Amino acid sequence: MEAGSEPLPLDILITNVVCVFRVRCHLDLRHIALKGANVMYKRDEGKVVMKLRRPRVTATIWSSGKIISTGATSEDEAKIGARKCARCLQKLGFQVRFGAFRVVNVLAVCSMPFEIRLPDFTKQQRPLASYEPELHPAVNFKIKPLTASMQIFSTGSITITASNVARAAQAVEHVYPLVLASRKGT
Amino acid sequence: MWRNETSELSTSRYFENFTRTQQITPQLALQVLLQFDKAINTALAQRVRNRISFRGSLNTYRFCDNVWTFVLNDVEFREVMDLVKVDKVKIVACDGKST
Repeated sequence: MEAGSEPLPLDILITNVVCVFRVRCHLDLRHIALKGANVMYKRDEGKVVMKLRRPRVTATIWSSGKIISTGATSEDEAKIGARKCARCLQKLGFQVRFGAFRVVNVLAVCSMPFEIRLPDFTKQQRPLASYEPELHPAVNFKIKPLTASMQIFSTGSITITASNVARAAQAVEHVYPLVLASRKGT
Repeated sequence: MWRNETSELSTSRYFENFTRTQQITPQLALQVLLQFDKAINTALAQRVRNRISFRGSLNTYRFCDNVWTFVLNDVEFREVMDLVKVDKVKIVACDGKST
């Protein structure tokens, strides 16, 4: 079993990075909705959705000053997008101070060059993997210490959800030998 | 909202002028403008039948209180045989009554 001795030639594509940050001041959502550009005001939910074009992120803004930003393709891009959003709010006249930036969730996709036998894999990884073919065609595999969870499909593609990019990569390295053992074709 | 539209701006100004020179009372001017609002609503709903399609690139959008505000650039307005090209268009759209 390869214990991560050689770097894996697998491409891990980060599809989404979700982060939260604060602007340390109360925001007047109505003012943002009327004067801001590329905004939608969801009055019933008490939030304003602002979409930036470069980097392509969607920021959900609450009146308390808490903002959740989604859609970035890397941690750096997420930070740049967050700062851009704060800058837009600053230009609208609010005393903005960028703070408490934290990447909350990272979604990545990885494709194995082989197909996987799911029932076989689940049998070996009993408590950690759960497979319900009638509900969803993928195995849900959780790696508790890394707080990462993945969905493993029989075609070989794996969807990883982790708390940051480094952990997502570690999760893939962790699962690669396990999945290699139950591949189709051996 | 109609009153800020350019074609009606002249009508509002017209009546303001009348009021200022005291040819009509301000209440009367207000009543006339309200009647204009009703008339234009029914006229646009029932008497206007032509269809125009337009295409352009979106600059900004805004959605607040069920009103969409778009700013488009390099827009082409196309009616059956007419073509109008504009650099910048601001569209303010409310929910219409679905008949």
